[in-house]
Amino acid sequence: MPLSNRRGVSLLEVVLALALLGLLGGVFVRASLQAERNTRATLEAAQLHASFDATLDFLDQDLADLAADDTTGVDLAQIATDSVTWRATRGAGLACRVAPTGVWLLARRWVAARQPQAGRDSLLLYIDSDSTAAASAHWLALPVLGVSAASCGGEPALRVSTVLDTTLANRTDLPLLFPARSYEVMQARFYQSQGKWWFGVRSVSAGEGIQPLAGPFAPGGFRLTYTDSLALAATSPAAVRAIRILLAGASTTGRDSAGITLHPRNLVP
Amino acid sequence: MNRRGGALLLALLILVLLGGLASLALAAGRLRARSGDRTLAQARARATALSGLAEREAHWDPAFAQALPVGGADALPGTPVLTDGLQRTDSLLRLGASLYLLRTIGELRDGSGNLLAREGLGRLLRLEAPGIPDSAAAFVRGPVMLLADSSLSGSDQVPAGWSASCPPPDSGASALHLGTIPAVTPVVSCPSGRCLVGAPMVVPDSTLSLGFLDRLPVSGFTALAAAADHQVTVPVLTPGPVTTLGTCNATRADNWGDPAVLAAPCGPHRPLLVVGNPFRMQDGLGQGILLAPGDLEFAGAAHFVGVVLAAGQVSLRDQALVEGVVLAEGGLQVEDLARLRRSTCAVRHALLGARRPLRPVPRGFWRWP
Repeated sequence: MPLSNRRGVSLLEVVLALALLGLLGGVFVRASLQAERNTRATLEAAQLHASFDATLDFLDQDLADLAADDTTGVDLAQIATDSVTWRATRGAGLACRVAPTGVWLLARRWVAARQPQAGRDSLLLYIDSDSTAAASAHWLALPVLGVSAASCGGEPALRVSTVLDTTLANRTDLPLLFPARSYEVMQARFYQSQGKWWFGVRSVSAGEGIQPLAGPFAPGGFRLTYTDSLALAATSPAAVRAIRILLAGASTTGRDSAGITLHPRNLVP
Repeated sequence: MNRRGGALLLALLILVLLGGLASLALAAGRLRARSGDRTLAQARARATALSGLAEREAHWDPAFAQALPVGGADALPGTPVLTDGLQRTDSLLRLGASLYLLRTIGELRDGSGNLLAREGLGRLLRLEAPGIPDSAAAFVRGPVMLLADSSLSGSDQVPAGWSASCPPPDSGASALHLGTIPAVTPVVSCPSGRCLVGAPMVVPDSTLSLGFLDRLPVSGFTALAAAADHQVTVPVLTPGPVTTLGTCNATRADNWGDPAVLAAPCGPHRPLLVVGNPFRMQDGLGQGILLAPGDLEFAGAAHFVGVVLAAGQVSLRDQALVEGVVLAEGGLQVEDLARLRRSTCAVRHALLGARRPLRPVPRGFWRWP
């Protein structure tokens, strides 16, 4: 091939190559940007769903044991659309002995997220008797003043130091085993921090400040509604039989929401 | 050559990126699907456990519950065989004389027997009893007559042979609570002058008005009668313990238990009985709760230990002995050598032994893994 012809072809090749590269480059940049947008949207949606799951799981677990009785009252202390304060069960099981200064919790019959903590937790003890009278049975709220390892009839136990009525503790007609629960007062709240909205919890018993558990959510993206036994809006904590939790958030792909209704079994008549 | 190779490389890079994104989306989808499966399995295990609680409460077995020693636990018989990998285990723990913890565990397993989900639930249940007063030997709305060498005593007695099963008797109480509307005065005509024993002997009680038997706390007369173990249709009966092959035959309406020998097969049998109107217990032995919609008579050597509720008049004559408490709307007459003795222990045993309504304890629903 003559030399002059080879140069002309080279120029055309360069132009074509540049055009092709430009085209491919454009496609690549657009694909990269789209991929980044998709990845970011997927991550945001996943993060939002994780926040929904964390919030709903927490409330489902912690509010499931809500209860009430005639002597110690209602576990729900305060209700609002953006916050709730309640006695959260931290352990449940059976006590094998009571004395004026302590209650012995049977280790193998005690199911707990954590052991009772002095100054933070309280104890609910069910006092029954061999008497057949219904009035002789009731729950009793006791402070937890200390916790130590002990034994009960040769079995491992946890001794919770407390103050119990001497007459009651010395009664001879008490049963062999006492149902017991440990609890702390918790608060869950929807709040704003650094321009974003979060779902947070705190231990009221321990005097803690609010700590974020999930978020960020959309403004107004957390709402609690309380209904009574007739499915009407409950006007007081004592009337609550069901709690509806609604969550909403926004990501690049748009708004999303989730919700559940809790029917704590102990509040069902 | 190099330029074409550069384009190919770019295309490959784009393909890899797109492939990565697709894998990411696929992995996220599978993760959510697995999470959904777990949630569904947990919900099925929970529903299984919940159904166990409901079923055991609805079909409460009083004999099984009563036979459990306090502090004892046992698997409940008759656990159903479930399909689709579901299993259920029910057990009962007796915490006190009247208090029980019912537990059910629901499990879901795959075809190879691997555990997919497990949910344990517990429910505290209490056997309630009617609020039968035991602060006197008799609570009567109508007229009261004590004649001859009869005796009505408010002194707390332990039935013969029961001392091992009874706390020490309490201090003396009144013999009789008597209604004030209409105002009635007991007629006491006994030569010894000691047929009414109590401190005070008589207490006016305005609550003993018309229909007071149906106003007893927890379960009144009508509710108790509806839950009776047996209806006694004959007007006169000589009841006593009935055993079949060495065990107490509780299906017989004339088996009123054996208060004389607590260790005997029918010693723990204390039925809730409804008799006709009128009815006479002529001789014989019995214990438990006796409900009479009309007049009721204990005659001969009749010996009854427990609670007597009568809408009509209660009469004791000959050498009849009733230990426990009598509540009568239509009056009380004790004559001859008959005796009516207050016994708090007899009342307590009658209430514990008879069929009683089962009530869930407040705060009694537990998740128990």
